Amino acid sequence: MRIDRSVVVANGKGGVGKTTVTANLAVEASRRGAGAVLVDLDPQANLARDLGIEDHDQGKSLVGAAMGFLQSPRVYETGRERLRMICGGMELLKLQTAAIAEHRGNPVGLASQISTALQSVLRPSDWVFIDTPPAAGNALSDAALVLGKHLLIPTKEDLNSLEGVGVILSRVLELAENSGDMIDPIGVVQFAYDQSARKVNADASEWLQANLHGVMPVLDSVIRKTTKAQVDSKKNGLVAAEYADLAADTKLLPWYEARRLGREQPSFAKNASTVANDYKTLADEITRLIDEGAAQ
Amino acid sequence: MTGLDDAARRFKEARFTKAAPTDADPLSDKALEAQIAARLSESLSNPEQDSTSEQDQRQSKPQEAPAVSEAPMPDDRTDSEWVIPDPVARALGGRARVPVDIPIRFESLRLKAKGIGMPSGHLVLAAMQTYQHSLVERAKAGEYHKVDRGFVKQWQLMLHETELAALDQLVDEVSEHMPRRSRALVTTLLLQHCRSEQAESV
Repeated sequence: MRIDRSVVVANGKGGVGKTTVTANLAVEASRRGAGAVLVDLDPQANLARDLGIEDHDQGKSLVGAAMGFLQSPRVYETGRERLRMICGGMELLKLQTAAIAEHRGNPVGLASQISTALQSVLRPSDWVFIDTPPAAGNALSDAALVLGKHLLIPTKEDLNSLEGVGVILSRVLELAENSGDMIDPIGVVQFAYDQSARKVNADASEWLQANLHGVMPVLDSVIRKTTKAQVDSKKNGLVAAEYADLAADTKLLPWYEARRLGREQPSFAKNASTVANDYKTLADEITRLIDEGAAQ
Repeated sequence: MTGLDDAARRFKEARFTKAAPTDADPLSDKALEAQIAARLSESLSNPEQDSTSEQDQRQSKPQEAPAVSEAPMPDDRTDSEWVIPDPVARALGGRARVPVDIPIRFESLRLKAKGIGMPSGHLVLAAMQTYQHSLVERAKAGEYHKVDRGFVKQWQLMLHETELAALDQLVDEVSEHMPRRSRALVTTLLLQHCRSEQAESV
């Protein structure tokens, strides 16, 4: 049932960076030479847009494959080498509704359906990155926790986001109690981290240490807050590393020259490479933790 | 197009591969839609069925319904809000009103349901599950105040008998995941209201 080489990105609360982290990690994996498949289990379907995929099936083929009407879900090329995607969207609510009625909310049945559908398109070397909807106990979110191998929880530092960590972790433990098998919790990564907010950072760290009960670590890596870089990259369907490359590749004229020629020039976030480097560091740390876990 | 958009477009043209044409589905979109709709309808008509193992079935035994589902309907409703029955209010720590923002959210979902050709009731049912955590958390935080009665009536009209049955199960499931103190979830309230309205209309 569990997909060995898979990372589920989840948090009980929305807006904590799940989709952004999922997209960036998958692109980073593909840049490192691994085959990667993104799976969007969120009816909001933001993952495809973040990668610049506008026209897709809203999860319809995944629903069809999970229900057994199609042999496999439709796999979209993302334009990046070695990175493919199975899109989500509002159609997933049909799968969720059917699962509620058929399995009475028991996540194993739905997880099995989705896992079988996904395995039909995976290559042995693929890593799968799964984005989830913002709700613990939601059928799709639960299914991801049952079919995925590793769990990464992004969070911001406000209390609601932190409590979302606690909620998803409780759900992981409940599911493990029922099934006797638990997803491997890699750790919690702090998203939109503001280095200058020392008191907030200290409070958040303290809260996490007190509430994770040693079940999973708080990762050393953080994803720093860079509003312009994030807005610009999402708007153009690029992840952080690609935005940094774009900024580095773009040759800008001196402002007076551009003005003389009447040429509009792009402006880039000054710290375009900051977040790109953060994701590289995060990918390194996750790889190390997974390798260490496998060695034990 | 801004300078950034233009630069990003050129960047993607240079760096990204052209998307390969996707293999055609063995089933046309319409045929697939029809099959999914039929499956949904069947699932909701026979909510007892479960294709998983015996062990799964054991795990998915229905939970005991929350006691509040038998609570009497309130009689001091106004046109714009609906007061929570006493037992529920007590369970919510003394809060006595449900939120006004939920109707807006579900109205938007109802429109989306139309857009994808899904029965509205099915979508509302799924949406309730999608948002169940946020409902619980916000209820606990005392953020719920009132609900638009017009919406609740509309919702009641959208739900058919089978959907009400499925929602009933959902409420049981939701209640199971909630802290004991807050087991009276807003879904229970709305379901109760729908039932009551339905009973009145019969």
